[in-house]
Amino acid sequence: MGKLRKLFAMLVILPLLLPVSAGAQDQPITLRVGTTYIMDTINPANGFYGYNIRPLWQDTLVEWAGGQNFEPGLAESWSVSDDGLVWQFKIREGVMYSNGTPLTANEAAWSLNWVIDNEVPSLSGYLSNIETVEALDPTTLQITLDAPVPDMISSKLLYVWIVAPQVWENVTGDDITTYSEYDAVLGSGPYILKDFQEGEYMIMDANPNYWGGKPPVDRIIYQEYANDDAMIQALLAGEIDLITTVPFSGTQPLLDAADSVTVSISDYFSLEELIINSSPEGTQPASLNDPIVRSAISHAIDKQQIITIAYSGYATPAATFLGPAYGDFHNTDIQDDAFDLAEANRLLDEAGYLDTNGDGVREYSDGSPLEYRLYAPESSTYYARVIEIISNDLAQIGISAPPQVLSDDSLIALQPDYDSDLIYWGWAFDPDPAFAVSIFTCAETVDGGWSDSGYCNPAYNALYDAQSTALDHEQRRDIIWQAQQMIFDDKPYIPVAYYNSISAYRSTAFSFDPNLAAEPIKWALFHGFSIK
Amino acid sequence: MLKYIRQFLRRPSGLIGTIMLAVVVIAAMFAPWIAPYNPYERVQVQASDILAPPDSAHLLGRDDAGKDVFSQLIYGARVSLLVGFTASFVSMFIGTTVGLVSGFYGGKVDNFLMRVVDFLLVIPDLPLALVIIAVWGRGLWKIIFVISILGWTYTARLVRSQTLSIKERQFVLRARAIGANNLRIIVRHVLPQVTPLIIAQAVLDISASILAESSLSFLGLGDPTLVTWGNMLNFAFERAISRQAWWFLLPPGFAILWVSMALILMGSTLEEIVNPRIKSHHLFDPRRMVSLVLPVPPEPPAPAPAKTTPTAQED
Repeated sequence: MGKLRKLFAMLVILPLLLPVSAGAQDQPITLRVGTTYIMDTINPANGFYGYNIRPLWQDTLVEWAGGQNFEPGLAESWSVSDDGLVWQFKIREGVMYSNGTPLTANEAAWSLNWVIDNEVPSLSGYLSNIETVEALDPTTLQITLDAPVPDMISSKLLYVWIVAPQVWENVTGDDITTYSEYDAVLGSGPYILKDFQEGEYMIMDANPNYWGGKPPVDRIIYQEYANDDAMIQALLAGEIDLITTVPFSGTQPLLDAADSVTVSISDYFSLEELIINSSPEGTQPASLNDPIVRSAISHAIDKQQIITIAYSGYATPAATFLGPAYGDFHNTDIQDDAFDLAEANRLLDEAGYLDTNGDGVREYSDGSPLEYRLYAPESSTYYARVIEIISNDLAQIGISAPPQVLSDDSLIALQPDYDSDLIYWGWAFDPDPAFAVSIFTCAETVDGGWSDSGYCNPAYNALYDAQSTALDHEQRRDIIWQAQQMIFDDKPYIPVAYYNSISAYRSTAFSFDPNLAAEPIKWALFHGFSIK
Repeated sequence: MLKYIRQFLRRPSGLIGTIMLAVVVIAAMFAPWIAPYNPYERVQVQASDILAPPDSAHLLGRDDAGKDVFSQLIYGARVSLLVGFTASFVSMFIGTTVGLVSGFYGGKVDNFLMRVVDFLLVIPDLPLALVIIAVWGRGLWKIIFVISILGWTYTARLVRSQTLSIKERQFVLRARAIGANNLRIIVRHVLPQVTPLIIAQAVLDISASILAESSLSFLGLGDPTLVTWGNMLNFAFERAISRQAWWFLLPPGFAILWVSMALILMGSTLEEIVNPRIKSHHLFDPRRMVSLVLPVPPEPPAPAPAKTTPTAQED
């Protein structure tokens, strides 16, 4: 869909920019943010869309402060019982929804229960292990668990928005995932949604009742661009003030304009990988299940070259699925397979994969050629460049993998039957490693699950279960390191790159924290932000 | 035939168009020998090679993947010509068949086929192509197919109108009188009369098909792993404008303009020469007829008799 919009890109971009009236000195201060994608719907049950924007409207008990830092949100403090099963959160006093009605522990408890009871998609997954949520008094929220968990703060409560019962009491059934009137995002956050046109723009005004003090700018306008370059030009021309996610190819021109634009580059919870279909029920050729073939493929991919071309250098080669942004969860013991075509060829030669008919493609013992389907999503142009490189690399070791781009929907449709061989795709994971670790478990291989590799290994499941109840950080880290080693050995993924998060803003108008690219926009606005 | 070719080349527009197209055809045919690099081959690049400006080793600089733009330009001609010729051949075939059947049989058949044509004519081609590609997925042959099935309507109308007039002529009646069946009349007597028109229209169709393929690729609906002019524009538009890499953006645009111009010059010159109505029927004013079926401005008057007579004598 996004591609269709490009047709109109050049014509539409300039006139669409909303007029910002010049005039009186006390005019409201507006922050204009450029993006290539705002969100599909404001409905909070579709919370993965716009997870950076939603905290502006609705609070969470705990806030993500960028990196591995988590700060009090609606809950100003918390305590946990010795057995790790009972958590008590002290909710701030005097908090009001943006329409002036009070928000207490009762509303917070109602929100969490609403998510659990209705199994609200994309949110209820976070609230596993929770048995009861209750408000003991207007400022005390108590959560009882069935097992102690290590990620209560860093994952479970991070994305569960405290919604307004006054709105959601009247929304039931399937409407929960579709209701998208503006009051669907009524909350206690610093901004109030005023206008949203999907694919075009979003306007929000400051919430005068915000508990954290007066929001620093009076109005935020998100402007959606169908074209990366047009967005870069808009920032250079001063038509927008901030780009939260700068495309790789547009970063250099912004760095060149250092007198008016400041660029922030940071590690990110990102992973770009070559997915090797590992499902026992998948349609991949038998040869692809051979560890030798996987190892050869891994040796044949020139990650540095991919990073130079597709990511304009704003990425680091990946060896394991958890990158350096995860701090000590990132397994530094894993030595990546070096890019070595000779070694890859040697592995295949020794394993008996020889090109017997001289067509440049090796054959499996049953005579079938080492021919694999290589897909990538069409949503980003650079993916086409990546699979071109991978295809060329594989050709040099006698593996034929003609590259093909498919729509994201088509790729997702392959998952239930695992009807694929090689797919190049990427992730933006949560700050806590739990989710990233979970995508290789058997439980995620069901229809609609997150497993795109189909990998299913009871030993790995055991590691996942162990880390999800390991309270001691060192112990949990050791388990997660083992999980990474197992994935590295079995290779359902060949991790290729951890790309950077890049943000840029007009330094002539505003000033942000230097670490802007690692922070959600709400946090950045209230920490280290100033107006010039 | 030779007479036609001479007439054709004697006109400046025909000659220029032919030379312009010949350049592209030669480039496409001999791409591996002309192009300094193979754009499908792996190149090891450094960061400084990305969108490097033109120099002596890379006449038109390098693209966002560090590959030689000039070589891609030459290889891109292959896909453009393949799409152009194949799609226009298919649409010519469909259009001629529909036009002949519709014009010859008339009545309900005509009515039905022309309503189908009307239906396809009122639907804007590009958005429909976008939708079809979005539903079916990408691929060069799918693009060719889409362009073909959307591009035959003008040919069908043209052939039908010509058939309507031809089937009323004496020789058709005579053929029928000596027992020729419909198929024979259509193939042996009507088709040869409309062939020159079809060829002229087909040449114009090639240009339209190339433009359509480039548009689809530019919009990101082509096969991005192929080297085509439309894909080059797509990558340039997405990844090179901020870097002001004009050497990546301008050449493919110019190439598309070049080949379209060549084909339009040739097509309209052919139209002028081979339109059978010029010679066969005094009731039809060729220029007015042409202006009905072709979206081109009125052409200069047909060559003066004084000029054509010697040609005929030479033959």
